[in-house]
Amino acid sequence: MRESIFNYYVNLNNKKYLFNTNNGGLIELNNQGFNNEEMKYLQDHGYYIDKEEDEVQKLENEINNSIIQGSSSLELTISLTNQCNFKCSYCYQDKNSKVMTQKTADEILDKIVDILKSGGYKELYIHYFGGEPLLNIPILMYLDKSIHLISRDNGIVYRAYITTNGSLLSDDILENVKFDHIQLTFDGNENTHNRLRISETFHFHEEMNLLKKILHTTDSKITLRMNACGQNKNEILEFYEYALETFGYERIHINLNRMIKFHKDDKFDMLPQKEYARLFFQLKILYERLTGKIELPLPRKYSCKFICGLSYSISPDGYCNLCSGSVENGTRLFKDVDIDKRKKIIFRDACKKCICLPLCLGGCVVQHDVGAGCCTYEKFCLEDILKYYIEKSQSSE
Amino acid sequence: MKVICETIAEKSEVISTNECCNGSVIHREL
Repeated sequence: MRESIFNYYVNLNNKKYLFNTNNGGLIELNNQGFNNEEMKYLQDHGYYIDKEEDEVQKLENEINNSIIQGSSSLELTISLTNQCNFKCSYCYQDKNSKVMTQKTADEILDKIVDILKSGGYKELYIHYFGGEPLLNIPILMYLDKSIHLISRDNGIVYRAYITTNGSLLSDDILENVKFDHIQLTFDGNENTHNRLRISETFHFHEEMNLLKKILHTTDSKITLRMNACGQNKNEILEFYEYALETFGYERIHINLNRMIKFHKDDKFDMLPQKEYARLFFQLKILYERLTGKIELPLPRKYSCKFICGLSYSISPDGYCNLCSGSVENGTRLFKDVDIDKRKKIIFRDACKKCICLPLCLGGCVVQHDVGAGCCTYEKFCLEDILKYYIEKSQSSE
Repeated sequence: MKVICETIAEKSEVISTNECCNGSVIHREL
């Protein structure tokens, strides 16, 4: 037998701890070695493995088997238009005049019906996206109403998500479309937000009022997104602290991202991965302090679902884009896609040597391809996360 | 030896809508 390459040791207060990134387990060790029962536990749970076992190959096989088996969720990101009424300084998208027509919407609906006929799906997640999706309200309403009926007929759960700048999110839409999640973006305090998210009429205060209205008048959850860069890095924690203290955490979901430079002339400073990781760790501590919730790093079941064909991003003219975070235009129409044809992953050589491979499975291809780095934040602060978790679990005993 | 946190029964599935544009959800159970 030998130790797993995913074993990670931490020393804290004269005690030694073992965490394994591939099984998510954490153990306090003593100085006496392991008795037979303990050794059996360690072997049964993958802390110790057969000497000849290739753990990276085994992990790759396991993930590819999961990809082939598929998910019980059908996840589609539908861009209703590429037009936008904002000019955010960091936007990666190629704005153009494409708007989804009813003909394209019908083709997508027909395809959804076809896919669901094959069975096996329990949930349908539709993410309305853009550009600004609310610049095409008729098709949003049409798709939502139709998908409700399709889901009911097929006995599956339909959840609607929307990423919007909020400027056109009217009472009428909130009443008619029961969004499960609404993603709103705040990019710092008022001045910074208004400087980064350029709009003629809808600024920080208007968006904050919208957030309050959604919480008061609907049951939707709000995904509160912040895009971190050099210009707002010192405002991230303050804003999330305000939001969680003011609105609670039951319906406010935190979604922090690193602003990525897709263009040479982008006018913001991209945070180095390590600095972003530090910020994310501090946010994790803040979240624990305000909500009492903390979790260990979790190994993933799938690599990016867009890349392996478990999730599709559909352009306004019905083509499959690489993903919702990509500027690459697709060449295949969604209506022609073979949903059962999935793409296996192959880990990059650099990733094969990384102890955090089970946590990110190679990370985001788009970030990697633009040279921005795509490692999970956990790689840069794993020791800190584990120590914080251990201290918290001990203080609650 | 003392188990602080049991190994996971099943690996974590993240909804792609929570990850689009390289998002990182703070708490995966959400």
